[in-house]
Amino acid sequence: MRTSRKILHGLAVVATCIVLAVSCKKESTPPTVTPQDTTYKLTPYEIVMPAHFPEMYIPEDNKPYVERIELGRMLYYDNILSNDGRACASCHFQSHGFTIPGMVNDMPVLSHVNLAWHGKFMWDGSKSGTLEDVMLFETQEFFATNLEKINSSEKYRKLFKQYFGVDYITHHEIAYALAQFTRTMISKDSKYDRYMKGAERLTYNEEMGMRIFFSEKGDCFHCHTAMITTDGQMHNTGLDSVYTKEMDKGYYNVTKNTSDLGKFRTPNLRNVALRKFYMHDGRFTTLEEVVEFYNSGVNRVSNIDPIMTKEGKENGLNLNAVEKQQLVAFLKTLTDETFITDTSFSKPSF
Amino acid sequence: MKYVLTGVMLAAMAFTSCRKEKENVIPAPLTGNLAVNVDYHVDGKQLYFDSLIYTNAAGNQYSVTKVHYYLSRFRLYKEGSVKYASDTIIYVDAEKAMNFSFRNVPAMTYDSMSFHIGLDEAQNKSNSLPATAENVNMGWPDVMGGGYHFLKLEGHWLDSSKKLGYAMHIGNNGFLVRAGAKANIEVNGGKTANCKLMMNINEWFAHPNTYNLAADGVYSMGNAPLMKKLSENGGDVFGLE
Ligand code: HEC
Ligand code: HEC
Repeated sequence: MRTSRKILHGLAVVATCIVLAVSCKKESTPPTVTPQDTTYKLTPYEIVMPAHFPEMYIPEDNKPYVERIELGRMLYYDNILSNDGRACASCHFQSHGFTIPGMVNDMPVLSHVNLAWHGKFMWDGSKSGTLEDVMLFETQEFFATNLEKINSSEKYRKLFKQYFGVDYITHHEIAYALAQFTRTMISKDSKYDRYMKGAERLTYNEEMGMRIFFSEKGDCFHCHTAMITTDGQMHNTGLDSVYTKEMDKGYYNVTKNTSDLGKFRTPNLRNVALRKFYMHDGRFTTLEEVVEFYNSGVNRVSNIDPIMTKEGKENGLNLNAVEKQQLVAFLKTLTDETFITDTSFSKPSF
Repeated sequence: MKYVLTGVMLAAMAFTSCRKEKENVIPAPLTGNLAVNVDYHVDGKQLYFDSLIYTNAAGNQYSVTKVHYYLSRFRLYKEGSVKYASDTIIYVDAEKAMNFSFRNVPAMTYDSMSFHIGLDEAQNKSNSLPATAENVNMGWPDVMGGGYHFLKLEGHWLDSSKKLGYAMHIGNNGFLVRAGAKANIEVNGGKTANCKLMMNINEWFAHPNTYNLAADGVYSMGNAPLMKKLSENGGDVFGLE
């Protein structure tokens, strides 16, 4: 009995070595997270992909596990990560689609929804990579999480040991746990989703608004693509004719390439009606104002996105009052009540 | 007992594989591979993105910021008959290097190639292609007929002195681009032959229809006469080297 166990154990070690060797070959940067170290048994979690969404990237070394997701959620709501009493949830409220009805540094807080599909993050696209990469930035640079502090927490030391197999918590494991949680924050049950599934009807005005949104009439879909509502790309929409504020230069601040002046990453429009400030500097405070911008306020700057200027519509769409209301009515169908009340995303009992 | 079983299994495996080999005796490879590289130019000038330095047949000065499209239904011909067919669908973003290859291409010298820019009716349905980010971004909205964009060609141009945008988009069944090019492609058994598909951007604006951004319009999506012009012009945008 004893010997066979030993053999089994030996085999397991060999298998682990092979797995390690294989995964090392695949990864360009060797993973420092080695679940193999842990004797704790993790429960795999299956992320259910909504129909017709683009493929989601999940790194080999951070496959979803129930326990790690839960740990990420604890961290998201815990001010232990910061040095000034804030938690991620202090600026990202679930009730508002994980943003706040205010601004921070003259900038609206970006929502947390379907983040796993992004390759570029922040209004100006200044962070790029995987969810793990942006979370590393959040903990290491933005919060500058004090590792001594979190390592002196008995609770987190134990949980990270069990779930990530580490004796000392680093920014890396914190980022991985946050990525685990935020990857599950998927909105797929707005009225628009239910309409697409044939489960609910839109009102006449919502339906007309959808037609404007998804046709050459409004031409929103080229950037705010079907289902996911963002193409994830950088665009200049003609918001400014001169870039008065430094932040208005957008992606230019990242690349220093003049053709990137005024370019911003297309924001996701899910739960857009729950926001209070729109665009990268929060210049608009209602959806009606946003629509009016697209309708008549487009500045024909030299690097404007080509699809923003059509003959006879150089400064906007020329919609009538009813059509503008219909467009707003459609944008409101993107509110996902299920997502903003889902208890698996809400504050855990510590 | 275990060893006996394993032995039997091994023997069985060896036996089956021997039989298989005997059945398809191939004296020498009768097929080779054909590697295709896709590249661009504007009437012989190198394509630089976002540079307002090109002039089309109608005299419009323009730049290119985006060229996204699908290639599908490849056929290789010899003396007028199809000798090789592939139904692979290839998404191309002209800003990225593009190489693909066909395998098991019968060894012979082909004199022409045909393919579609866009998708056949069977595939041109919303969500019929795998949901990659590229395919999703190529989606053609259901309210406009569904399916995918066959082509997105975008950039800026100078209208007298104003810089404006243009977006030449083609989609919808009936506007598929049937393209082709003469070639001299020699595929040898067991070897990989190479060829280069060269898109001349200016051909989208010429032959048989001279497309004038000032007179025809800058936005073709959902505009059947414009999509028809572009689709016809697309027939000879590619040359084969
Ligand atoms: C003080 C308020 C505040 C706190 C606290 C905060 N954020 Fe944010 N968050 C913002 C703002 C503002 C932006 C937009 C910044 C920008 O675009 O430059 C943002 C953007 C983001 C983005 C990019 C979203 C996108 O769509 O590109 C991510 C990811 C993010 N935050 C994660 C976090 C995490 C994780 C935490 C906790 C570790 C956190 N945030 C804490 C204010 C905050
Ligand atoms: C060329 C790409 C493009 C097109 C077309 C486009 N958008 Fe946008 N949209 C963007 C970008 C980029 C931003 C962010 C701009 C900024 O912050 O400066 C944005 C911002 C928005 C916002 C504000 C979101 C927020 O969280 O602040 C709304 C609402 C919106 N767009 C709706 C629409 C509607 C409705 C249409 C069609 C009439 C449309 N967009 C067409 C790219 C586009």
